[in-house]
Amino acid sequence: MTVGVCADTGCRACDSVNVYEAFRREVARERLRKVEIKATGCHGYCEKGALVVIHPRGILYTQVKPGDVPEIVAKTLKKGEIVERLLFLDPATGKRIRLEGEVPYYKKQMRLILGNNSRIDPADIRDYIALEGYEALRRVLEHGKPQAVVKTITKSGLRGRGGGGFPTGVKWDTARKARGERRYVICNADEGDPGAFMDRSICEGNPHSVIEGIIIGAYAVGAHEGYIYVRNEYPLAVEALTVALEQARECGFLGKNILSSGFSFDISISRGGGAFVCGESTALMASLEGRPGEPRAKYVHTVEKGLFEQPTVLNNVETWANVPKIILGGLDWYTKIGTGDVSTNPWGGSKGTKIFSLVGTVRNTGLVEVPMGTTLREIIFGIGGGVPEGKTFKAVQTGGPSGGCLPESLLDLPVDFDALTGAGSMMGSGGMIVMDEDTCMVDVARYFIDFLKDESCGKCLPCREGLRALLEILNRITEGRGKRGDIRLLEEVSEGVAETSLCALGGSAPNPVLTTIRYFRDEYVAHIRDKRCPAGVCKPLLRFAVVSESCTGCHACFKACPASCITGKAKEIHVIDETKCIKCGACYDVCRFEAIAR
Amino acid sequence: MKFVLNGKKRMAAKGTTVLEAARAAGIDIPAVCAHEALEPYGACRLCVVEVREKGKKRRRVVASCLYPVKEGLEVETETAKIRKLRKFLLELLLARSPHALYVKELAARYGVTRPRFSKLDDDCILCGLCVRVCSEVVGANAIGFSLRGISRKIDSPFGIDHSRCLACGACTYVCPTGAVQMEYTRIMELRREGGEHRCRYTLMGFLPDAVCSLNYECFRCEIDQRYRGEAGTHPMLVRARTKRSGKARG
Amino acid sequence: MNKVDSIRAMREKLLAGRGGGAGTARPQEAGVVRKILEKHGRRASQIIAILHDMQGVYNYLPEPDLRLISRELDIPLTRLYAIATFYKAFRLVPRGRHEVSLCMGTACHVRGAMRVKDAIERELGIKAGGTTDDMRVSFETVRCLGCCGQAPVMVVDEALVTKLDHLTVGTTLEKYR
Repeated sequence: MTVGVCADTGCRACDSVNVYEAFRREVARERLRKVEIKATGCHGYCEKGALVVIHPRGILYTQVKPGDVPEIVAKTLKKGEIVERLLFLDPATGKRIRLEGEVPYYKKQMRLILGNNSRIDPADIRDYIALEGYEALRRVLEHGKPQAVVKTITKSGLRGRGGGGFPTGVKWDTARKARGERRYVICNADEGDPGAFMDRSICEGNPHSVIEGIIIGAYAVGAHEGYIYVRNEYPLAVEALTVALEQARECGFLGKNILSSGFSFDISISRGGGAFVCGESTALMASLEGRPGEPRAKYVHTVEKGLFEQPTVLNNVETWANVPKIILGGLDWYTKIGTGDVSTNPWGGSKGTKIFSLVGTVRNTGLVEVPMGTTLREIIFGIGGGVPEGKTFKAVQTGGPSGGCLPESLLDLPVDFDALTGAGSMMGSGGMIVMDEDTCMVDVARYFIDFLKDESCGKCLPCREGLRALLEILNRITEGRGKRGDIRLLEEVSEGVAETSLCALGGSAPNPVLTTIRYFRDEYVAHIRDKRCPAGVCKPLLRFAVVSESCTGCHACFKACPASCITGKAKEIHVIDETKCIKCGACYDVCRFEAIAR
Repeated sequence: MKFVLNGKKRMAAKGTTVLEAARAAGIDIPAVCAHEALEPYGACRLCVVEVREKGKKRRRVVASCLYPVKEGLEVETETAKIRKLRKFLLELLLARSPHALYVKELAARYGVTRPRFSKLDDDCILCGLCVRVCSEVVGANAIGFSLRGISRKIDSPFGIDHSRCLACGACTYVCPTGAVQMEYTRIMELRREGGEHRCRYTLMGFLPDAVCSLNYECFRCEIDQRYRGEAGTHPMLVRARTKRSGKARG
Repeated sequence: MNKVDSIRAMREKLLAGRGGGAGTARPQEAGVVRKILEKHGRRASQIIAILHDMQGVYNYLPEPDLRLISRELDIPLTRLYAIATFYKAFRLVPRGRHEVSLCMGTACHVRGAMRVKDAIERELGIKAGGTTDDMRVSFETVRCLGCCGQAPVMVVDEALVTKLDHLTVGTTLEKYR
């Protein structure tokens, strides 16, 4: 029997480390020999942390506290009985569900990449090996034909999961044939899109899946040196990968003469320095070379001249993790998952699954893995459970700062590499942020431009000055100083920035602005013409006032106000001094009688 | 290689950039951050043109200073789109440096006089010519970029360290707007370095350890003018010119 | 496999929380710097890793040590300065004893991170990016810690604090003042 306790960052904040410790203590005390307790990576259902899964039955306990552990040990581990109150409660049926696989959140997913997380202790390679780990590598090396590997990956239709969607096999093929003294393979773990944490969870929960993929790729293209570039903000991922690499070396999966094949290869880990732009391939390589992360024009591709001017294959974490699955599962199986037809054209479809980080104002936040082609509606409402607290859905933002916001009317679009691009957005790396009626779309556009203005490397004129101009216009609009013609101006600047920027950061920066104008124009108009923020977010356009008819004098607002701008004694109608009001909204939040108007 | 430039068939040697080929053909493309003595940088983007690769349907907007001429390439330098993009870039540039004469004149040439964005007042247009000349040609690496995004600027290390500067004046020479200026204090410092009097031209390697006829009153020195008159450019750049003249021309 | 167990032990120690606290070694300990350089093979391409290690010792990058690295590895000082200022991870001035990093990622933003930021700035009396006068607390905003399921979040001395509320965050921070 194995107990998988999620020890990922999210569940840790729900005290899962103490849950883990409690299990260890209890099991030792009760001398239960055949029970293993594992601290695992992310199980995916972050909303219900701390998560515990008991294998092999697959019983899922949610929101477990350390105090619950003795009961679980006594009942479930010793006697096989269920602790009903810790089971998942389905809000639709009111019933409790026992098994992880039956819980609607998981049932509708296809968890090829993340599914093993609850069984694996990332610090123990034996767990990975027990689940067919490194078997794909063994087969590939035994077969001894690197070109065949390239062909398999090409025919599988695997495309880059980092957002670019470039056919992986084609990339490998070009690198293989390119001229150079040596080749490199790189894993891009610089997941910088705010709101995305898929790559982090793969690296921390199942690092070997990525490592195995990288070794296979290195063999296929003829590289002997590999790098995993992890962003600075993910120290735990660095640790997990470091430990995993050590163990892989010990087992002979890395180093000289891997599994007696004659192929030698090793991987180093490189930490980022805190720069979103280093997720861009040429900037990443500049960083690896010890320079500031400034992108360069890609008129000569990095597969021809990349790291240290040598042919380089750079792929995303999730892309690498798909490789062993494809080798093991075979082309027939893999190409049945997803959309389109890749038998003659690797661009012809989107195959396999994609992991999304479903976050924002959605009931079930967490990581969701579904086949390509699943619609936005199925993900957000079917799996995500829709918008909580009775609010209405307004928009979903995909693709990070390079993507766009799509409205309710487009929820039936299938999510893959191509379908969202027509609508002005893109699937991107998998960040999917749900927004409800309390989100101001103009503010969202402003947020992304504000983010990019500091993350831009600043080298090229259109991106640097263009972002400054866009931000200035958006600031004006959200501060009530919008002018007629501002929307037109935003569109013009956006076009200029997109066409002339040096790299994709600038090239895609206008997308959030353009999609919000396209689908939420009325909000822009309200801000500019009526000086009003319909969602109630843009502070300069807000006014807070007490509704005297409803005020009961309960004094709650007075206590909450940080600016001391409310006057009134108990049982008296309170008054807000608007000249002192800083519009923090605290009074609005605490009033139970709807006596504060906004 | 054969390629097409504004509708006319042309030839270019391998390794030529579109900008070089266009200039050789007498076509004017504005390019602020390009300089014959330096490696192309691609930061100002004013040199953008539209290209279509052989066999492809789509046209792309690319920076001609970096884009290599390829067999069968079609290049257009004056399409309506390019003209619009140039005006856009100049508008941004003018908003950043509204008082720099170079910027005003260049923008006016393309019909841009009033930017619709709020103005900064920074004569430095971040073209990087000063940094690049100091690094690539002079080899002193006395100034460089710092920070990033809209805060990016050019600085000496920690903002105060001039120890690597030779006071050669190459940066001032290449700066289009005059944002980089020579500071007399540094020349004074160099004079006094090590207790010996040293002429900055000896530091640059142009003069042997000669005795200065002006008693090191550099503000009266005419060596700058003499070299400039002879070479047509700043003394430090003469070296670079000979270094790059080996490159094939289209 | 004993090594697995010892590595697991290492991981368990990590799970128990990383040893925190700002480094207090004196700057200009040339021996410390040289050891770090050796560890990375004295290669200029490893400069970012080197600077990370240096910052791990002193909690910032002292100017004399940057000059030392420039001399030892023959990297122009301008390039080091460019790198140290380009990457947000590096700091050229010392920070407060306690470090508060508030996530301003999209998910957190949508769940009210701006209001939490205002509340923290009010509570500490400093703007984001600054340090309190008594050098006790530094506050900065960061973009996406990757913990979006429990937005809004912040990190205080490497401990994650989740599901923040602008009404209660001030009290949470009181003990650090």
